[in-house]
Amino acid sequence: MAKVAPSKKNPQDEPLLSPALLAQLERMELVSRKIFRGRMKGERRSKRKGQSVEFADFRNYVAGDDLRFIDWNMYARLDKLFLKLFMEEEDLHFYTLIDVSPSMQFGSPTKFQYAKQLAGALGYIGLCRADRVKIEALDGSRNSNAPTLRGRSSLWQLVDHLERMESQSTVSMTEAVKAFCLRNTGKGILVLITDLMDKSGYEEALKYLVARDLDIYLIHVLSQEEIDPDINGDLKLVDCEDQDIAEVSVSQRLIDRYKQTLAAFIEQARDFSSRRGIVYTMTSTERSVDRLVSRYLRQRGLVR
Amino acid sequence: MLPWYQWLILGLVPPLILSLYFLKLRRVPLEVPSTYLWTKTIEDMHVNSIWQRLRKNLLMWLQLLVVLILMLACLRPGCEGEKLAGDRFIFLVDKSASMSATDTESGITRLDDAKNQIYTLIDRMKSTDAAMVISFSDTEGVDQSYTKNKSVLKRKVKSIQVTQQGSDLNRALIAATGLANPGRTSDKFSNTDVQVADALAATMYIFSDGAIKKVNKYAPGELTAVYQPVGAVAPASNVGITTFSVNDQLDTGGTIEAFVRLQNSGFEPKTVGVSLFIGDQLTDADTVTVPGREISESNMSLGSNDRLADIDQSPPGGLSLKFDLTSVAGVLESAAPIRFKIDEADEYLLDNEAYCVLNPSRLTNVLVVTDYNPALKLASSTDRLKKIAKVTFVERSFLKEKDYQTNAALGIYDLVIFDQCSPETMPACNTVFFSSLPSGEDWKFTKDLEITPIIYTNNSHPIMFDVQMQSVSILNGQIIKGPKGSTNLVESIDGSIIAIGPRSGFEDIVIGFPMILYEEDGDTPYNTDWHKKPSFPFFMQNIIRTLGSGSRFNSLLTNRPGKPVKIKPRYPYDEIDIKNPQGKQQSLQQQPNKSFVYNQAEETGIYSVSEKGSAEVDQLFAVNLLDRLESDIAVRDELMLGYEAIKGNPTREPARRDFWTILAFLALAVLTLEWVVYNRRVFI
Repeated sequence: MAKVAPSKKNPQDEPLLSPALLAQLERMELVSRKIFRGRMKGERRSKRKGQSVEFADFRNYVAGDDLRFIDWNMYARLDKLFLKLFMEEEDLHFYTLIDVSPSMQFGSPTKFQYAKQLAGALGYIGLCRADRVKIEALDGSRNSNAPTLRGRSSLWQLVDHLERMESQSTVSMTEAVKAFCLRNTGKGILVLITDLMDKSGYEEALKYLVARDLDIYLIHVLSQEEIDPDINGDLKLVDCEDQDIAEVSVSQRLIDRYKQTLAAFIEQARDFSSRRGIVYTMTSTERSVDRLVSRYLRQRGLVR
Repeated sequence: MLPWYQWLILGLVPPLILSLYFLKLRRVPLEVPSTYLWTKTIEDMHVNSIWQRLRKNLLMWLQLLVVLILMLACLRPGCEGEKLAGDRFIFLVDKSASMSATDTESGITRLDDAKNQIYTLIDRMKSTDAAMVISFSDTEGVDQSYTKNKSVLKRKVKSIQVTQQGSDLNRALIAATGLANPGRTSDKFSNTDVQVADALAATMYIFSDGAIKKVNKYAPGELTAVYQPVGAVAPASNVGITTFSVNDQLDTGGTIEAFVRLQNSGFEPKTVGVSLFIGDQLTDADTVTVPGREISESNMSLGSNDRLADIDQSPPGGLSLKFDLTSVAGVLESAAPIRFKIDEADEYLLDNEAYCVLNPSRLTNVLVVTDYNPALKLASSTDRLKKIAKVTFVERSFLKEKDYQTNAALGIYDLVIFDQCSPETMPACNTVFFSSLPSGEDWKFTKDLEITPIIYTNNSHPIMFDVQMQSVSILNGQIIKGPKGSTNLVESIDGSIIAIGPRSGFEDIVIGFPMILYEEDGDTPYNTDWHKKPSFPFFMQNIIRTLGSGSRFNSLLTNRPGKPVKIKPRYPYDEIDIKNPQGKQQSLQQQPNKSFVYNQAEETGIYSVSEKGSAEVDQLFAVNLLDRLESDIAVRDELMLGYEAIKGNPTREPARRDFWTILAFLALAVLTLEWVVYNRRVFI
């Protein structure tokens, strides 16, 4: 059986994160549109007042307060006890979900490879900022072996985890997301990298995520072959996931029609996302990861 | 009706079409990330097409409909005509010159009209019927023997071309009846006569305009003849040349005249312009009125169409013209073609031009080998003969000389008269022997005779024209037996005493008695009193004119198209080139008798003869149809075959118009295209 997307060179052999990309990423940080409570002290402002150097507010002293936070200068001037409040700096949960369905194995580089690179890049940004980075495959398993990483030194673990990831899952997106939600309860940023090619629909899955009150970014990855198919003749198109067959006789009209359908599909996904506060970004595997991160995701506000 | 297996094949077509709908196009499998969008796309397109729901079925039903139409077409429906009766047919097609006339309803030639009628008949034949095609003009040819293959028959009919010849049905009828009655052979008592097949009834359709030579014998046997007249929707109106000749100087006392006869086959007199060309130069022109057909009294009251029915009772009108060519011929240095032309075009063009050749005068070269014969000398020195011949007298000893042998072998002489002597080898020319025999075994003296009365003179032969021998007395002579093919000219009680016989292209006359007896004592008494009679100079003149080619060199012999032309050039060339009126050249090898035979004179016009490779014209000859029957293009309503009159079938065979077939095939082609378009989804 022929396969779409013959690769010119094997992009799988390329390193996930090149040194140049890493250097570029170090200067970035992940931005959350919401402020979440972290578990550990991090570099991120928390809702909680804490022990950072950044002043937040004053309040009256009540019995039982830690005497160390009383502003004695204020007491000298006003003869009243005030507590000086500082912003607490906490870490952030940064989840990345990668679609590992077989359809991700198409394109050059494959959508899966592209997703891993992107996840690695975003994860590295998170690591640099001492966020809690977790990259998970949407394989529907109850017990995820994905490590929660923190700190720049965990980069090798991140890369190792990504490299071991495989795209063989035939679990529907909804099921996989459901499983993820059950496993993870932390708030934070969630980046979902998928091609949305799930016949049972992606809407349900997104709804689960929305319900978790996460700051959700949906990155819709499509290969060039899906965006502009270069096929001819009478074909029996076989779905790589469910072996479903679509018989087509390719004509220019059909191709035009396909593009219209794809555009409608993208528009629908964007619309669905924006209605639910999800930031939607469509990208092609042709577009390099550093360009996507440094330009498009910055525009979308995921990084700065 | 179709045979059962063809019905079976036809019946299998609808299920085949249905099964085509169940068959899927062989598609190349291709793995894609997801068929989700593709399925959606196809669905969208199908939903968008208004006729989508109906299309698939519509196509199928249309195709089934076409097959039904085809099946209907195979039943050959038609509102006109019925099946031909009988199962064997012979189509006799006249391809003579008059069939080129264009007086048909649609303006095509008669032959093309006949062909169309035959196509119709072939279409009406059942699949088990057999037919054959014979075309005839002066000669006949079986174009196609019995076959059931209609396309072959049509192809053969189509290949028939009109000739420039007359029409003679006799031989074609023999061929047709022979093939229709296969048991019949020429020799009933032969042991080898094997009955090859049973005689089967056959219908013979004769497509002709009826202008054919009289058919003397016709024994149809199992054959039924149907005469299908072709042409003449209106009374024929054709003025044609039926005679064109230049006369012999001898007959007109030195003047040379061209004689033309025009014939009008219409009922009304017709005025036409005529022109006479010598070479390319217009020499004479005139406007003449040619009277119409003579209408018999019984036909006077009839309309012109009805008169056609009685055409044989009213011979075509004619007009004779004469042109004096003496002054032109006098200054002629080489052979000149003469062309006579009717200026007005009519429905039959072939007889509007006639050709002749005017050759410069040349004396016939006659050699007389005799020791002493005053009778011959006297008869050869008449004024009339001097105008046409140069007669040289030599003694018998001359035969031994080299001069004679060379000249005789080269054919320098036109005629040699041997008086009581015989050459060792026969000269390459015509000869006359007085009381001696040509060398070889062919001629024999069988019996001596003395004083014998002459009982028969063959005056129909040109040699004996105007020669009366009854009163001639002969003392001594011998009875002659000539070779096979010889003709007796004068007979006594015991047998032939003057005979003429062929010798490989030449002719020899042997006279069984001498004019003069050479006695031992040197006396030379006459053996006959013939020299005193007027018949002797006539005889000599006839011999020199006929055998010495005397007339040929002065005027012309015109030849009929399709017939072999015997050519004797002025010089004994080994090979000659002949150029036909179209300019096509052909080389001929010399025959053993020093002459040439040209078989390709199919067209009318002037042919030129020259030595091979030479541009100088040796002689010209003309080929003319000049056939009164062909020029009378009125269509006969009946044919006389022997004593049987075959009435013409006046109604034209209704032309069958099989639009069904054409339409059905067209529909099939269109629908096949649609099927391809649909399955390739070019427009989906």
